[in-house]
Amino acid sequence: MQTLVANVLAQIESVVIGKPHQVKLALACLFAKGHILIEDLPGMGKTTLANTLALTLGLSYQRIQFTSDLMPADVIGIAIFDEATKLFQLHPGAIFNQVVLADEVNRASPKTQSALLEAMEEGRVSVDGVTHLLPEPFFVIATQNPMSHAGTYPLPESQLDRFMMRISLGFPSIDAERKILQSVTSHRDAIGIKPFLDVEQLREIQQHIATICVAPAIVDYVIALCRVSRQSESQAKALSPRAGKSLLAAAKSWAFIQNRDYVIPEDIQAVFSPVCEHRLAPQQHHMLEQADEISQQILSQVDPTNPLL
Amino acid sequence: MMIKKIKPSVKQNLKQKFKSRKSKNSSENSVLQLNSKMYFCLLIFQLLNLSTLVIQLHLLYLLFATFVLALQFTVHFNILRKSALASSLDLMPNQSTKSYVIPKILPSWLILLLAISGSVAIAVAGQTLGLLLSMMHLLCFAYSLKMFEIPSRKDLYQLVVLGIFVATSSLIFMQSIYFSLAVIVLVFGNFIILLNLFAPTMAVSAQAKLVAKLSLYSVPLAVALFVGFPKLSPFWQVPSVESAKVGLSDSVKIGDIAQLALSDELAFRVSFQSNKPKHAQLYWRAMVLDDFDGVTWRQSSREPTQSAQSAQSAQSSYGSATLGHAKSSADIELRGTGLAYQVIAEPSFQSWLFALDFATSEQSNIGQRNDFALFYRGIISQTLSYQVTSYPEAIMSATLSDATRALNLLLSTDNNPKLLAKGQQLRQQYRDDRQLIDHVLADFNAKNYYYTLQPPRLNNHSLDQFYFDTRAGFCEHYASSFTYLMRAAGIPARMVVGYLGGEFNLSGNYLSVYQRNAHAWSEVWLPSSGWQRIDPTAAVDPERVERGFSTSLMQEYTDLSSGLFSTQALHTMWWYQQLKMQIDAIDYQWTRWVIGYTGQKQSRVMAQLLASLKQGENVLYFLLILAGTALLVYGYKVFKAKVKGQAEDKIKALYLKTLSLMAQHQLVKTRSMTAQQFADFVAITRPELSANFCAISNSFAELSYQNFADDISQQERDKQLIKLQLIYRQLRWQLWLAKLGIG
Repeated sequence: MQTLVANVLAQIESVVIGKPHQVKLALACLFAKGHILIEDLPGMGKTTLANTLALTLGLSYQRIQFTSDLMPADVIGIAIFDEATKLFQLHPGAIFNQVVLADEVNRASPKTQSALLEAMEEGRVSVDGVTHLLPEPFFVIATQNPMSHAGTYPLPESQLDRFMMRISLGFPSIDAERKILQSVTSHRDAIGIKPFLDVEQLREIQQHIATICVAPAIVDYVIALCRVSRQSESQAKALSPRAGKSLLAAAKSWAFIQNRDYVIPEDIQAVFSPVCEHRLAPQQHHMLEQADEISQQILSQVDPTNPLL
Repeated sequence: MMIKKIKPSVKQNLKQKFKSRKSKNSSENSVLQLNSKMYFCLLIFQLLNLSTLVIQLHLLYLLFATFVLALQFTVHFNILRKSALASSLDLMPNQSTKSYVIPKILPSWLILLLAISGSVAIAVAGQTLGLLLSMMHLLCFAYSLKMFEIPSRKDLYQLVVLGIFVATSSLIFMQSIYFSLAVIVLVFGNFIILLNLFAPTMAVSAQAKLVAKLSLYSVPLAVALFVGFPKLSPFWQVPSVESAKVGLSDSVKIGDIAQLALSDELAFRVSFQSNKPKHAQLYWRAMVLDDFDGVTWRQSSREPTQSAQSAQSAQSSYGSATLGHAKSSADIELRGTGLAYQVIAEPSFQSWLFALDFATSEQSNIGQRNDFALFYRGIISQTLSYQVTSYPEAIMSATLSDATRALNLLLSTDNNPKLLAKGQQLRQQYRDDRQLIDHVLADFNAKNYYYTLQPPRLNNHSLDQFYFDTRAGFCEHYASSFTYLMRAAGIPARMVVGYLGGEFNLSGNYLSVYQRNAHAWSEVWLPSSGWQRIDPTAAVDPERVERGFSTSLMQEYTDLSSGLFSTQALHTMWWYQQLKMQIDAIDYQWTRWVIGYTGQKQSRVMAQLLASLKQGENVLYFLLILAGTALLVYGYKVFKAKVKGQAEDKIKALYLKTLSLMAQHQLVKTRSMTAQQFADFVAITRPELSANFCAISNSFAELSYQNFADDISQQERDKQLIKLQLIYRQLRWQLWLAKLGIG
């Protein structure tokens, strides 16, 4: 199982160059059955990452480019009257795929956004009173432009909460940039990307992650972090129990990727910022340098060896 | 990888924290805001703290303090009212609730002026007040003025602590258990106020709980200090408040003791080491009055200096009260066995003591006059406890010196001619002294004399009038006229003042003697049997002597006291008597063990402890007790660990201990570092420690985070723990060596 994961990682990293940490986070999020929001400037490789991820995992994949005139029906699908059967038949939208890339999700109107996000939460959609189940596994990768860019509708906090993680890729290093510029491949022609996992194997991995040991000390650590966020004097929002749950799930998944069958505080620290930052400071920062300031502040206030002191 | 990422941000955070703390401090110093509730609490507690000293403080100061408090109350009340008005009118919508800066009520020059003039006034008054009271006034004065000057938080703490000091200093003057309890409660309240200044958001009940917990922690220390800390005698003199006290005085006019008969105030308490003597035996001698000017009985100031034994008697006039002295003295012939008891005298601001005849005491601060009365070398301004052994069968002054004889036959002849004549007539009638005395006593019994608290008024305290006409009087009437009669008949006689009987408290097994037990009787000198106690009251009203109060007198007593307060119905109730007895018993134990624990007693206790330590057997016992306690404490800890503790907790505790050890040696784990990260950090900075530290750190991490709960047995874990403890000691040793520059 581990070699499989290593292969997957190696392949994605060969395409998304110089961002191994973010790749691991994205994979961890997927393994933990969470959705991911990638926030970055245009041209940083958001779409490449999403694309590669979907292809490597061998899942059905569709991309929706969100624009201001995109309608909910474009996402979900629409019921069309079938002449032959004399019945309304659902014409499924892009959402009926295992991996959905919602590109530039904050450019669409709030109505369309919420249609997508509702589907993400429920795992099913209702069209004209008929409920349709979404495929298993169902994984949304949304990308978003920083809020300062013109023509965007920021996602409300309640909907940001639906994403397990928010990550940003950031500018590549000199070496990585050189490699990117010299390489000929782009995400449009992802030649040589072959699926390493099938749905069955993914499900197995997800089941294995559920059995990873979380010691009471780790739970205490998570509780302490949440409590600190609630006491903090800054403008930050408090972490909800759902946030804590997501944090634990992500940490388990991270531990699995690190080839461990128990969670250690380092796992929590590694996933804390991507899992919690968008819940703590939904609209605060646009500059990538200070992207995880609040979560680091909270981390620095809790002693992992003696959390509930 | 993560470590590198985190580190700079940690530093930043620390900096920020530091900054924010700094700014907080500065804000604390600049403006101090409290809500009005807090101000009123402060004022009320100032009132309460000062009220503990109200009896001692000068009237002028009390007026000043009242004025200050009233001024403060009005100012704060006005602010409260204004803010309530403003908020109702919505003038200040976002005003934080009722919190405001302390207003400047008086200009600072005025405060300065007040402080200086007040100090000068106290210094001037100090001549009359005495050192202690003037210092007390200075303290209270500062306490009052401090109210006007609270610019910062620090001053607020000072104010509260000053209040605690004022409240506790009242214990110099009063030490009864109830007053002490009241002061403790008050101090407790002050503590809560102080805590509230530190943690204003805490609920009051939680604060009280915390204060109670902390106070409980301090109890063992307080007890240890109380028992062991050297008690220095105070360098001040507690001022006497004689006027406020009822009690015997050193001169008795007829009618004086009857006034005491209504007083419920405690005079002294006695606990006997063996059986209590009968009521009729309990004649507590306080002093002997042998100088009568026709109206008033006094202690003779004239000493028998002309006698052959002058040197000796002058010495024995204020002699030692020890048994050895009594044995060597020619004045005393000891007989029978001694009766040992402890007396705890209430402050009387006099120096005489109370004891049964014939009393000896081994205490160096107690002396004996040559009239056999004990006295204290000093003024009894605080509760005094002393140990006495009495020999009731001893013969006092088998021979009488001429000077003493002359002194005790001296009569002022002009006041009571009839009584003088009667005495001379009796002398002629009876040659034998005994027969003469019996005749007089029989007269008292037979001829319609009666015993009353309300004797008819006598002209010029005339004994003639009492003896021949009114025939109604209290003990001093009888004792006085009897003594006069004896002197007239040529028998040396004198008056003795003291207390008779007392009330026995069954639950506490001690005797309480109240002021109403005050009594006067006579002493006549008979050849061969020495000074003999004769109580003429016994002839008139035997019940008074045998039971303390006769029924007729009780009736009179209740009639008189019901005029004063109407709790008379209560007095007769059985449960009220019981309750009173119990309360009194508690007070007795408090007085005996807490207040009576004087420097002398302490040194005795310590000496005993040391002496017993010197003997080998006791050392063994002592060690056994020590070992037993240690075992108990250890057992308790083990038990607690068993209840609470899994191996995880023990190893976690060990790990945390190791962390604090490392921190002492400049290896500080920043808060957010995980165990692994810190181990890596140690490995880089101090590689020589790494092996030992990692052993502890890894064990901790394994046990905390991995799911080994079922894999490892308890025994193995205990073994591991012991191993780790060894490693911990090694590590500590290594660190010390490194610090000393050896390792």
